[in-house]
Amino acid sequence: MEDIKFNVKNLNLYYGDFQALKNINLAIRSNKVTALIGPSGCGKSTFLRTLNRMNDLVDNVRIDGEIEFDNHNLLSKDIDVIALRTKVGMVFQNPNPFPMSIFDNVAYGPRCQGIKDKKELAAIVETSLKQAALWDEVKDRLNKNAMGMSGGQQQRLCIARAIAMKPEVILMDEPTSALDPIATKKIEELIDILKKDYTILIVTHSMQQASRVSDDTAFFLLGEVIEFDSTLKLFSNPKHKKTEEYITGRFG
Amino acid sequence: MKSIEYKNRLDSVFKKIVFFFTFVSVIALAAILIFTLLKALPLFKEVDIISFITSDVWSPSNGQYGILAFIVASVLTTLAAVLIGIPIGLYTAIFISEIAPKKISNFVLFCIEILAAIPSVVYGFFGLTMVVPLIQKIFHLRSGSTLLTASIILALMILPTVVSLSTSALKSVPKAIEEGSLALGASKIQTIFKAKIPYAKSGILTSFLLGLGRALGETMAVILVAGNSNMMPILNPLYEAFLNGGRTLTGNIVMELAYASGTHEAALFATGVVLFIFVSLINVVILVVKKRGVTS
Repeated sequence: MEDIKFNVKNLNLYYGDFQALKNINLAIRSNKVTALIGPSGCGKSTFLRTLNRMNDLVDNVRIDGEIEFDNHNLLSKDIDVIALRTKVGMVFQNPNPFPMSIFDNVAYGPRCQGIKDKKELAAIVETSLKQAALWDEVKDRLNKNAMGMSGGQQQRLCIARAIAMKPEVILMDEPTSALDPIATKKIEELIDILKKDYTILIVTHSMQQASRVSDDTAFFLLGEVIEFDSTLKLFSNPKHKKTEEYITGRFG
Repeated sequence: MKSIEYKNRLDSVFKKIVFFFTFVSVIALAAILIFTLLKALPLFKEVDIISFITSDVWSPSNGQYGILAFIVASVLTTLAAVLIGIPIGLYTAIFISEIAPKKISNFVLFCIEILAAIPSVVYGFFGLTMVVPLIQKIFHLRSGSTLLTASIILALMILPTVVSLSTSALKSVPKAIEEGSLALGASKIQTIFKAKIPYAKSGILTSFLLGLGRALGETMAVILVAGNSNMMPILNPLYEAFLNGGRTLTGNIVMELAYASGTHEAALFATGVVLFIFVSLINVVILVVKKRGVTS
């Protein structure tokens, strides 16, 4: 029996009258990379954002179904959302560092959890930046403003910032769509290293990226999961015609 | 179809009109500056600049022109007004932009905007009839017309500036910053104070500085409640300064300009020049803050 991180059962999500997710059932494996692919507006980002309850910020959203995480339904009302988000980190489409020093960016999450000890913070910052493959580039300018970094560095800083919380899961919402190919390659290499320690879900518009970095892939279309399988199978031998058409670029 | 030549000509005429009207406001500034300086100049035949600024004896009938007392009164009331007004203004802005439901926040914003539309003489009248007696009662004073009263009224008057500019600075923080903070397990309050306010700090600082400028330049409301005595405020202990009447730079000009002539009149214009320098300094700081906000 394989280790399941998120067990999604009969998940439906509505924005007002519009149903954005339709009866989603997925078992996301621990310490694997799961790619979510599909055309724009198919619900893959919405799905990703239910996993750390970011949809709570949206007005008029209604969710039913169940997502089992650590033996609890994370959609339940009495779940501690803040505690959940410390376990399920997120990296966004556009790098969004805070306008403060590199050090303060990485220390932001731990500080919000009440860690004040300078040595402890310095240790967390160093480990996180090392894990995000950014330490060597920035170790001499930790006190410089993060807004002065390149886009690719900013995105790796955002990954380091998420890692600093020692999460179990990292959600990545098109993390390389704003980056050039070299920065993209660095992030992809990083994902490969990080999956040893973390469960990773990545939304991507690039078929190549999905096939390069992921173990499993879910294909979303109009709010439904059309196909979910190991990446190898889904790309080499798709069961559904729609999946085949999408991954070969005939629509979407 | 109109010809391209016609369009080009229209373009150049329009550019000239725009340039002309822009130039009017620049000319107005230059004219005011030159006029004030020229009118102030005769003073310095009789009094040197240093003693004008550093002497606290203002006695035009004896030929003594020192405005230190007014500078001190202006600085004290302005700083106190800002100290009272900024926390109220900033927290109101946070309430409006972050916490209140939309209907309530629109209502509060509406009230604040009305506050901005009230003429300053009405503020002064309100101060004179409501705050002055109150201060007199609370502190058992002979007169409630004090620098403290002036500071309280000024704090009220700068609220609209601080609130509306801080609110828009907070509202213009990208959603990505808020989401980035929340996704790291920060609470809503932590997100506001640790991520959004730092992001909006140049806009918020600008609102404080504009409030400062407004308080420094305010005249009508201040002369109605400040007492206007030309004595140097007592600085030790400092609270004595606030519990006695005083005269600000603006107050000094308004109180005496109607009957002043000769050197006395020149001294009042020189007071205006000093005020102008203070306001310019504030504006320079605003420019620096804005520029920093853009680069960081």
